[in-house]
Amino acid sequence: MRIIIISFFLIFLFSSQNNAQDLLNELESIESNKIPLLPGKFLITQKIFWGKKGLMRSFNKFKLTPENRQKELKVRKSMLKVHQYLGFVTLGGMLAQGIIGSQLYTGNMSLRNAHENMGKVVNISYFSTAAIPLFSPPKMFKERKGLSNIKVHKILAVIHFSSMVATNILSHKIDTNYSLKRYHRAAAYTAFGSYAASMIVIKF
Amino acid sequence: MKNYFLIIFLTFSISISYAQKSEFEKKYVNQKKSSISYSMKHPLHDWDAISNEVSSIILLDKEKKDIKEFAVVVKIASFDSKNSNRDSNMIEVTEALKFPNVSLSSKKIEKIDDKLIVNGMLKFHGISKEITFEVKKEILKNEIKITGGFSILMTDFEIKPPTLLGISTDDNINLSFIAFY
Repeated sequence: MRIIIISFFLIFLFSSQNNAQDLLNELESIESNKIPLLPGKFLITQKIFWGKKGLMRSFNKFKLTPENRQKELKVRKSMLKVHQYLGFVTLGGMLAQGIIGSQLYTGNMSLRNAHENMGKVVNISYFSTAAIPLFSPPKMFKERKGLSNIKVHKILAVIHFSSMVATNILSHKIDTNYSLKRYHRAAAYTAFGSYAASMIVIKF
Repeated sequence: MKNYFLIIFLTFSISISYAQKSEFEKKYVNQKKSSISYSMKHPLHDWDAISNEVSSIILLDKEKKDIKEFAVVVKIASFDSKNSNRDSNMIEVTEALKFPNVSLSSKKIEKIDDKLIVNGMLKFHGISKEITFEVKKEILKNEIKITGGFSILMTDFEIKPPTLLGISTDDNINLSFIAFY
C-alpha cells in the first residue's frame, strides 16, 4: 500500500513538473552556443598577426580557441588602455609643440632646437599610439551599421595621420624652401585639431 | 491483487497528470517582434544595446490565459549597441565565450490585475541569482504581449564593470524587454 501511495505522489509530482526549468532546458538545447571567434572583416595589419593563419597562431598560447580568444580580448583591452593614456601624452606634447612653434614664427629662433626635439618626442609618442590599435588582437564583431563615435574617431584618425606625415615631410623641406613654412604650420594645426577632435568624440 | 491496485493507481495518476498538462499550452516567442535591451551609464556617456534574438517559451493556461511558467534565453553576443568595440568589450568583461547566454526562468508568478509579479532565477556569467520584477501582460487578438524590466548589479554576478579612459561604468545594468507570444 505504501508503494502505491508513494508511486502515486511521485508520478503526480513529476507530471506537474512541466516547469520553467524544463522550458529553459528546451531553449538551451535549441540555442547554439557557438560564437564566431573572429569578425567577418578586420584590419590587414591585425590579420597578419591575429588572422586565422596569422603569425601569432603558430604559438600554442595563441591557437584560435574560445579560451585563448578570451585571453586575446584581455590583451586587446590592455593595449587599448595604453592607446588611451599615450593619446593624452601625445596631445600634451602637440600642445607644447604648438606653443613653441608659434614662438618661432614670432622670430624667437632660440627655441628652434627645443622645437626639433619636441617634434621627435611627439612623433615617437604619436606613431606609437597609432600603432597599438593597428596591431592589437581584433575585436569580436565587424563594424556596426550607421554612424558611431568610434567610426568618427577612425575617420578623424585618417585625417590626423595624413596631416602628421605631411607636417614631418614639410619640416624637412623648409630647410631648402622656406616658403613652405606656412604649409607646415597648416598641416600641424590640422593634425592637432583633428587629433583633439578624435579624442573629444569618444565622449559622445 | 496488490499489482492490480498498483496498475489502477498508476493509470489513474498518469491520466490526472495528462489532464492537468492539457490545461496548459506552450507558446513560443515571436522573435521578429520581440527584443531585450540593456542600458548602462558612464560619466562620459550613456548607451543602450538591443538584441532581437530572444528565445523564450511560456506555459499558458488555455482558458484563463494566465502565464504559469516562462523561460528566456538570450545570447550576449547578439546585443548591438551600434558600436562594435563596445560590444566586443562586453564579450570580454562578461566572459561570453565561456558563458555565452543569459537565461531567466520563473519560480513563482503572482497575478495582480493586468500585472504580474515574477520571481525568477537569472543566470548570468555562470552565476544564478533570484530576482523579482514586474511584468505587464496584454492579451491581443492573436497573441500575448509581455513588457517589463529590472535592474541588476554587475558585481552581484562577479563581473567587473568595464572602464573607459580609466573611469568605470556604473555597476548597474537596466534591462527591459518586450515579447510577443
